[in-house]
Amino acid sequence: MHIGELEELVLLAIKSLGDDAYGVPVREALGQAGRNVSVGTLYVTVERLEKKGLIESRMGEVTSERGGRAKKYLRLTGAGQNSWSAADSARRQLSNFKQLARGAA
Amino acid sequence: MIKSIKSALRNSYLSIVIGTPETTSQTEKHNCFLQEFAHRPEAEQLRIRWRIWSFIFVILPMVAEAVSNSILVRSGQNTGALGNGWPTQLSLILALIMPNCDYSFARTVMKQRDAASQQSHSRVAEFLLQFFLPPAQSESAIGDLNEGFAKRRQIWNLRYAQIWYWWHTIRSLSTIFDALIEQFVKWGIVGAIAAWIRRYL
Repeated sequence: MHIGELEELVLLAIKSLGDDAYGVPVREALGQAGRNVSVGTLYVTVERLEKKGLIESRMGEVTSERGGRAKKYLRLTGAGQNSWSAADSARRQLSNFKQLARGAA
Repeated sequence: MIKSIKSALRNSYLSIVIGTPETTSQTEKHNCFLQEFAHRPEAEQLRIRWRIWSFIFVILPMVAEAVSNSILVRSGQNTGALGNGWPTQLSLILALIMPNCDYSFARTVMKQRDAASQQSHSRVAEFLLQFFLPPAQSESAIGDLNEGFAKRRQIWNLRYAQIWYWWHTIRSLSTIFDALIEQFVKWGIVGAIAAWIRRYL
């Protein structure tokens, strides 16, 4: 299954955050990776990943800090894990190929 | 602003009914038609029809939303679709008077909504997000923005925090509008081609 660059980053952020993955820390993680995305962009991407079956979500607790709005916790599915691993290995191979090409030059 | 919108709507409607005005006499003809039309029985029928349709499409869905949310609150379920408008207030009141209501949950939700209204971020921005974001995502997206606002409120003054909230609202809406505009342009081009074919072939 083809996944875009932002989708891959979101998958990586969710994977690295583990059980605490919801909108705010995911956006912070993306910001640290140099991708400052808006809330709308993040949730559009999340919706797309959910439709592809790569992540699943559950509604969390309602807090007053969030104005009585629930958190949406995100988790990778098995397919999401496989998809991310495939994209990661493809990127590693490409990186190795670049290094080899540089060495040959 | 409203006058110009009204004028544009009137002109587009009249151009459909009696053609596009090209000369002053035709513009006068438009105005005469409008004045005459306002006194016709069809105009009154149109007004009544407008009121009925707005009731069906605006008021009834809001009442339905309030009733469905009140059932969720009553059973102690997480209410993903709760907003801050009058349907939410109505749903919480309905939930409290329903039999076998989970009172503690309903009161918790009500208190948190009240606390949220004291935070002083823009209700309009929140409404826009609630309205335009997909329903499955709006609850958590607004929650994330509220959380960010609360954090920034502790560091910055209220004005900067409000600007931050509005900035992120506009950025989020622009994502949605980009997709809408893309669709609009696509169908606009299709419509223009269809109109051209109809006119010249």
